[in-house]
Amino acid sequence: MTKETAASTAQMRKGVLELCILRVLRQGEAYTSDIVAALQAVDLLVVEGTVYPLLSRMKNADTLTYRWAESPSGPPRKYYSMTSEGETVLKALEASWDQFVDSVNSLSTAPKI
Amino acid sequence: MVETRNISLGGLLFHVELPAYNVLNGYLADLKKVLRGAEGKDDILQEVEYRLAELFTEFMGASRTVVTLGDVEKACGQLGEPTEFGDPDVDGADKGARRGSDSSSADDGPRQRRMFRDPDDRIIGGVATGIAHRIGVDPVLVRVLAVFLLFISGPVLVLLYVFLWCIVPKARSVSDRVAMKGEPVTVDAIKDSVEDQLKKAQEQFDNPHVRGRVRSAWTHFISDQLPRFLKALTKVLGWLLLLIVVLTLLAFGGFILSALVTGSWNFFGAF
Repeated sequence: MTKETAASTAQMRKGVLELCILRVLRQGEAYTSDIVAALQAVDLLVVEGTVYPLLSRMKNADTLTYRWAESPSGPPRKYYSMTSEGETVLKALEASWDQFVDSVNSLSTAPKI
Repeated sequence: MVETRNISLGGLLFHVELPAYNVLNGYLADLKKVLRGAEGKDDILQEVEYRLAELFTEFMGASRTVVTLGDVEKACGQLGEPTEFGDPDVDGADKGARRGSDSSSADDGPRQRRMFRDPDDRIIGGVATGIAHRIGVDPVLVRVLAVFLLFISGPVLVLLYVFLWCIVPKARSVSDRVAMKGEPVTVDAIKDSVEDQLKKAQEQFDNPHVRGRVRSAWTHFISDQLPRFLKALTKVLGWLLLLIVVLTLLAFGGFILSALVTGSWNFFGAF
């Protein structure tokens, strides 16, 4: 991959990150490292740094909420979960995503004008 | 034996080797700089703090008790460059796209150097070196010129020096150092700078003078506490001098004003 396409791909990942975080949380609450691990497992996240500002913003927008919990080893953990508002946002983002994929794919299959 | 620092991350205590501590500090300083003024800055820093605590705990396992440079590099690598922490939504698509190809756009045109005091190359406070870096000449030239001017202007230059010492920030983080020398802030430049500092730390450690010496309370006082004390003292004196200068200027301004109002330059005649 060239530098330019790598940059574009990184932008795409950033764009769908909010949707992906919400999809992870739809399966139940998760603490920061769980979210990071889930995203990295499917190559949607390269470095963790991009996640934290987003989590903070989603929390401030009431899409997410969190609670502190003790950890068996290591520091206390911040468990995030989706609010009802978050579910609305998730549905809206999923709709946009489907439409986006359809639009992009239609270009490769559409007959030449 | 490597010197360690104790730090608290996420409510846990960590012993961190000195070189690792320096790298970690630089990383966090850069991060704070990137996040300055950003929405949710405290949340983000808190997440990073807890995540670092967790990664260090994980890396060390049960067998180690000291965080090494390798641990810090691995953890910071996993978290990503401080520039990655910008919120993609806040700064808009075009800025984000530019950031995506940061390394290529960073070297467009000459970089504005920023003035810092250089703690690595200093005789008193690093002011002369700072000026030299800022205007791009050899520090020796600035020093010679300063000594020359000292004979002509005397106390004024001393005042100016102390003033600059107070005003100009010390280059603390890696990106400070890079900006000071006018190199574009790229990953490679930062890496070079980090390697420089590591080499320096290693040299200090290898120096038998340092390693072999058992530091008594007295040498500890001489080498650690005394300079710190003197520095604090000079800072206080500097601010005092600054206050005097400002007050003098104010008084002078008042004199001129009163002279203009009363039409007489005889200040005492006004009473």
